[in-house]
Amino acid sequence: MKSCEEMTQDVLRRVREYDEEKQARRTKIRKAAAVTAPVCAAAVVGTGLWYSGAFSQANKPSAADQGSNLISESTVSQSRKAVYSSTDSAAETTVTNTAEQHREETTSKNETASGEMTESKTTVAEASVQTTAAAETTVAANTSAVRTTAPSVTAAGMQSASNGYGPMLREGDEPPEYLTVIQSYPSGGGNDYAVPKDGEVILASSVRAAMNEYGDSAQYRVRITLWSGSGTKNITDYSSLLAESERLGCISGVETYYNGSSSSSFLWIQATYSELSDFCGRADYGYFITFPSNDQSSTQSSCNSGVFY
Amino acid sequence: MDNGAISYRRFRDDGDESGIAEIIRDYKDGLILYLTSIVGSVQTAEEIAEDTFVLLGTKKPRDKGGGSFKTWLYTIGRNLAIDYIRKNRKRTFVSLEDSAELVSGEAEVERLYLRKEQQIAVHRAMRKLSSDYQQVLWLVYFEELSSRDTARIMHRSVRSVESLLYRARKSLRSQLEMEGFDYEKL
Repeated sequence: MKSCEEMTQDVLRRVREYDEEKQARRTKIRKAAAVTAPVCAAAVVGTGLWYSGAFSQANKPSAADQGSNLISESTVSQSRKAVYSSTDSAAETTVTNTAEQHREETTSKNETASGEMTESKTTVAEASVQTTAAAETTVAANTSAVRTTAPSVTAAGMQSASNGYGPMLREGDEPPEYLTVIQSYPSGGGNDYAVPKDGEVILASSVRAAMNEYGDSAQYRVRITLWSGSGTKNITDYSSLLAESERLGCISGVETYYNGSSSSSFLWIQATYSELSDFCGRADYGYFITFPSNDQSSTQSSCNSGVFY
Repeated sequence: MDNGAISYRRFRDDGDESGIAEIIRDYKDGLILYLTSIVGSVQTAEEIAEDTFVLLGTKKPRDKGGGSFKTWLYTIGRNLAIDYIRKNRKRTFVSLEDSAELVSGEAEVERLYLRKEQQIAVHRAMRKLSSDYQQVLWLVYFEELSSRDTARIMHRSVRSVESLLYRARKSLRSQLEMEGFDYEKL
């Protein structure tokens, strides 16, 4: 049996051991907390910034990208792209970005009467990631619409990669540069049609008028009617049109349309002022260049109507 | 507030180690003998009593009030003893060599705590009764606790304690008579 003194000593010794152990454990926890707390705090702050959208600044285009609205025909599956569309006279505009499976719609009232200028400015902007894809743009003016299968375009844009929605300009962001594409122009309602001879290039009056007004500040999306045999044969077969499209080398394509009873194809290009002015056609073809009409088989002037591509 | 509570408060609040020393001095032997009635071994009871004081020193529990410090201390000791029994239910073996030592150790505590021969004889007769009888008899007759305090320590109702005490006394009487003591004179 222990005496009172012995038991007291034992009890106090055990109490001191317990206190020391508790102190050591507390110190250990404090050290661990000192190490992990900054990491946790950084994680919390990072998460907060991420959800507040601060990191989307990273998608801001670089200065080098902003100056170059590069246009090319290559198609890449991955694309960060923003498509802007606007019309001068507040035409109803619908922009569809098929590459992103993303659609933006902008609607406004068109107060201009039929025959007024319906110029659409389609701006295609893309993030600094150098990827391209096809963009589909639909512009409706009055009762007609312009549907453009735009070639792949690389430009600067602010598409938010994180949320998949459209671009959002923030304070301090540089506005994107716009590329104006003219695809129709009023010519007063008269018919505008000509049959070129071999080696001849005829620009429709509406195209010339548009070129005179906009010059190098825009590109022109036009339809080319090909003739051969000195204006005796209209070339509409797909393979010939495609071969000519490839030869031209600029943004171009062949569209096939159906007029209700039969289908036909035509060649279109998107060209600059100089490319149209110095159009280099083949010697055995005649070229009539005009803006496309909404119904390729009708006699309605393209100038007065909406256009379908 | 009794002396034990004052000493404990001095130790708990001011860190005065003499407070726990006073508690050990005042309550050690009585607690050991009470715990012996539960665990059946003085040495084990001594260990549990030491654990009780260590628990007071480390956890520094607070008495919820409603009883004396002694009642509270014995309640803690009893809970620890029951925990011990629960954990060591399958290994309560005592060798024959140790048993003699145990008996001598208990006798020493008895001698120190009870002092009177008559009380020692009664305590030895009690040791042959069941644990509950031993506990209630010890708390009521040797520690001189009220039925209410006894009930609090044993986690029973007052009525149950009184009933248990009645049966314990009856059993003790027959035990003493068997050993040749005259119960009425005790």
